[in-house]
Amino acid sequence: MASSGRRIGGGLVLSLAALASCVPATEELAPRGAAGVVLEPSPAARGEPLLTSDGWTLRFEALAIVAWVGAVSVTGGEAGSSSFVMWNGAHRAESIVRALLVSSYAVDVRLGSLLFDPTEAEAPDVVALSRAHGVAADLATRFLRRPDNATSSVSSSDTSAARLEAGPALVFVLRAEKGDQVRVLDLALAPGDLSLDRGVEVAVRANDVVFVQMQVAPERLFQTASGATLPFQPIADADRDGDGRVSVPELREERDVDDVPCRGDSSVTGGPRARAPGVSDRAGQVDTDCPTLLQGLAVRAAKIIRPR
Amino acid sequence: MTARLPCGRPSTSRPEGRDVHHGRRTVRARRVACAALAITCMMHASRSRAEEPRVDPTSDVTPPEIVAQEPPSYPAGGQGAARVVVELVVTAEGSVESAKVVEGPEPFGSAALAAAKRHRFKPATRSGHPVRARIRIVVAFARPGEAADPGSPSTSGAASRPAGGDASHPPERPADGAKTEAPAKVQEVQILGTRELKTPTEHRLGRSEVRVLPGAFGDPFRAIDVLPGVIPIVSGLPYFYIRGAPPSAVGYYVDEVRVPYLFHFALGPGVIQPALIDEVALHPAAFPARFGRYAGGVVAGSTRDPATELRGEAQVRIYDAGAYVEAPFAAGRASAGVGGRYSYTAAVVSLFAPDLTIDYRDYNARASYALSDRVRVSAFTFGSYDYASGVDGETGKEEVYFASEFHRLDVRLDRRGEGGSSVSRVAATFGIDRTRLEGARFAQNWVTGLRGRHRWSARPDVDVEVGADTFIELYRGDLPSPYAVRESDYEQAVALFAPRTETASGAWATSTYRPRPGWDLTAVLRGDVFTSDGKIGVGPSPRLSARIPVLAKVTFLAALGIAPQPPAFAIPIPAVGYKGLPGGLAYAYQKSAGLEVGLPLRFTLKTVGFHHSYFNLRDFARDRGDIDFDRSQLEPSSPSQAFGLELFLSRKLSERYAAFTSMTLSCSQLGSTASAPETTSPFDRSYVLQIGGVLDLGRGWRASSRFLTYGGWPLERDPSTGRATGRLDGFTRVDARVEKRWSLSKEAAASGGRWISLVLEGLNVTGSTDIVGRTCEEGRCRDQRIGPLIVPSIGVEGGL
Repeated sequence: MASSGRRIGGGLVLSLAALASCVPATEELAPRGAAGVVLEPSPAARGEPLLTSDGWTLRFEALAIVAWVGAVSVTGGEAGSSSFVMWNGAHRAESIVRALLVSSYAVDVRLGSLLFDPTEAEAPDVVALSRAHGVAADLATRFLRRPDNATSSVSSSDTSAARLEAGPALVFVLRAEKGDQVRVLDLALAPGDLSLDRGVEVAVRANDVVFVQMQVAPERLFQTASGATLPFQPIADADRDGDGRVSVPELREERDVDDVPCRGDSSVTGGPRARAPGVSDRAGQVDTDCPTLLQGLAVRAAKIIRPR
Repeated sequence: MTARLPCGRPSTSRPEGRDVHHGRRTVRARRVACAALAITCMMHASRSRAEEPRVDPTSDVTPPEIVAQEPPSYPAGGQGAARVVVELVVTAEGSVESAKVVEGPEPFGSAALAAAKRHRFKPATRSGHPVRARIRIVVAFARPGEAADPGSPSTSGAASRPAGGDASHPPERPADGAKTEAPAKVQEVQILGTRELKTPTEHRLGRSEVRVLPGAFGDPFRAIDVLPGVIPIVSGLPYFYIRGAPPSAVGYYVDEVRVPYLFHFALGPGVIQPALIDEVALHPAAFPARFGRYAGGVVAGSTRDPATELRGEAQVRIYDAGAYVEAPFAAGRASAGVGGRYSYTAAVVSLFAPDLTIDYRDYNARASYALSDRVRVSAFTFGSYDYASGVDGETGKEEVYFASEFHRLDVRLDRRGEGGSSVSRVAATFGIDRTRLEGARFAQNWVTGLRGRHRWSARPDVDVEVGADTFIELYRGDLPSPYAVRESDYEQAVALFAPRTETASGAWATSTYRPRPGWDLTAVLRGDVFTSDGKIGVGPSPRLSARIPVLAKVTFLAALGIAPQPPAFAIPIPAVGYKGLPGGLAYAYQKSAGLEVGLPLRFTLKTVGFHHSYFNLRDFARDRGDIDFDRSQLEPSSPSQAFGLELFLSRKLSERYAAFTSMTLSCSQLGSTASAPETTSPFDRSYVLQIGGVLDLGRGWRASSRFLTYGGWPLERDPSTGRATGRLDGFTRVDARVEKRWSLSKEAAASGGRWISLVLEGLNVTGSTDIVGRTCEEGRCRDQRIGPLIVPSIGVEGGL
């Protein structure tokens, strides 16, 4: 019995040792954190009136945006991005890039496009997503259609599974008034300029988020790169049928008036230009002398989000 | 229910292997001044766990049989003849666990008691399984030179044979003054064991059977794959589909304590020492009332009775070593045991892959103390630990692949009513589960459970049990910083590891009616309430089962049941589960019926047809080609069903020679609604066939083998019907086992004494590969194979 007792005692010691051998946590992970962007609407984005240089009062009646946040390490090598976010431009929104190694990053917001299969019905989850961010369903579904500034040969990508197309990044309804004149723009635009900004530099801390304040400023659709307000009259004049709605074909018929470069014309300031037949409305590219009004809006659309 | 079995007549034949003992006893007897030993037998058998009273009189019950006995000395101070009734508890190993004088004067009582404690028995058996039993023997004393009272019973095998059985050894030659008496009758046998836990369509494997089953490596929980209804996913992987239900719908228990994680690294050795397990039962439908909360089936292991003498087993294999030793103390009123397994794979693997660490270990311990003859308090603890990591070649840092552990402590109090008229148990379970997630973060939960049940005989033919249990699990998983991980990872962590409190509470009442011998009509009313993170689910679980003899040796079996289950993770992992009962409870509707036929040579044929329907069950295999463990939430599956026929032809593997055939013909389908038409389950196997045998070659050699074959997975499905239009090739493998056992004591063969074995065992000795898919390019197709998964084992096992 004594020997069995010793055996049992030894066994119990082993058991206690086994109990004490908890799962170790020896693996040390590199510290990570997040960088985020807070997007505040400008007064114009909230629907407040905006006065142009030629006396038109503009009011954004609806504004919805799809974008994502990118963060690139200033030392290179590390980068991250958020998922796409769709939100009502009149509301405050934020988006976060997570799991970034602790370092300094340049953070920027890029307008983006949802890919969709034009042969399929609208994805209901997009509508559900839009509700969560205050976007009306009818606006949300427009993100799964072709942009107004697209052609059949662009804004799409082929995959082995299906032919997917890229939707617009910006949908807005603008009402412009001057005296008894009223014009309405109802457009869904893909970003016309994919050139990258450097972004705002931030230091990412472990297990924390650092936010960059940015502003959604749709008024930049009607401003030059330097911030000068553009006249609205050329767009108003594009309403050839006089129905008060400046349609996409009408915008394609007129050349832009802003500082978007024209091929062979680097002095690109102000003044209506002559219509250029055969102009391609390929987003972000100008394959003839000057862009159309629609192209000009698309190019400037890429700049409506800026650091505060 | 009480069985009254007359004793068999003693035989003059003497079984081989016992002559030595009888000879020794005879010598001893001659030295005794005077004694006549007569044993009659009022046998009261009882199981130590005192769980269930009574034995089915038609079941295959064999009372204990004396193989060695100590003739009592005629006590000093004694006068004349005397008759003493001694009550013994004979263990499943054949030793005397306890003895007390029920009737008889002193000093004869003490003398009889002293002698009776040294008896050794061939244990009682039920359906071939050794069981613990309580018996009463009568010891008759005669004055030296006189014969014992003619009315006294004999010492011989009368005590050890049921009616019709020939005694295994002749009447004990009486010592001086004694004379052999006519065999007395076995007046009563009570086997207090798992009998009443049986459900008609269940299957059981005893310890001795599991040990010789090739490919099981002595592990009872791995051995269940030999049973019909068990559909392997991949050969060698010890997780199964049972009647179409996925592994997450099958519950594993040891002594009614749920085991959160049964196999090291999900495919290695079991975490419970085989030496602890007495038998394992597979309940594919209409489980016993005390089990619930699983829709697909219950695998329940029961531990051996507390030791009445030092005993133990050990295994040393090329990759791990394990042992379990248990001993009585406090004059036999108590016992304590401890065991465990330790893997030295870390050291072995490091020889070949120094950057890789694979480590696992487990422990099992228990203690038991008899507060009185009818009350026993016990504690049982077990746990497991797995760890696997590697060193990143680029960074040089250790990367943990998997790390998990769990610990359980179950404390229970068992009380048996007078004469086994009732049995009660109250118990408390405590546990902690931890699984490493990343870095220093863990999923963790604390488990506290209480349960109690009481069973009694309401009438001679009706047993009733009521019980209740409740479990509280506090999940305290370490969530990552939402900024330090990707959003999807965080969502997944919140879904699976979020801090929360979950409860599961159940109550049941069950009644078994046995209107005639061999009949078993059981009704169960059970209900469970689940809560998680404020959500509540209520799951009723009524069950009916019947066992009705229809012809001689032919019994009709039936089992019906509804089984609810809360959402469960695809593969059981400690501390990992879904928060808030997403999708609600799943339900299984179980229907099965069949026949059990007794055949010559003690073969039994059991064939059962079944149809199980599952609703709202999460099945990670719903689309085999798209198993996405990164998804934070598996959607509940649409209804599914499985139907088929099971056949099990067997002779107990513990016999000197034995054979079995296990066959399952089944079809498992997903979806049966207008929006989700029926499709063949990706893991459907239309047939599983196993044929095996065991042969005692003599001189300690024992060989066994198993042939296994099953159909391949569905290859293609007809888009219009969803039915499989083709299948991958099937799989065939052979397992083999050879054992050479040396008995280190003369009693070893009869009573499981000291022994040592060399065991060579191999799973898939044919080196077969599983085909899990097919890829076709430019008109040429190629099978995707896994394996061959070959598990060789060279081990040394020993028992005390």
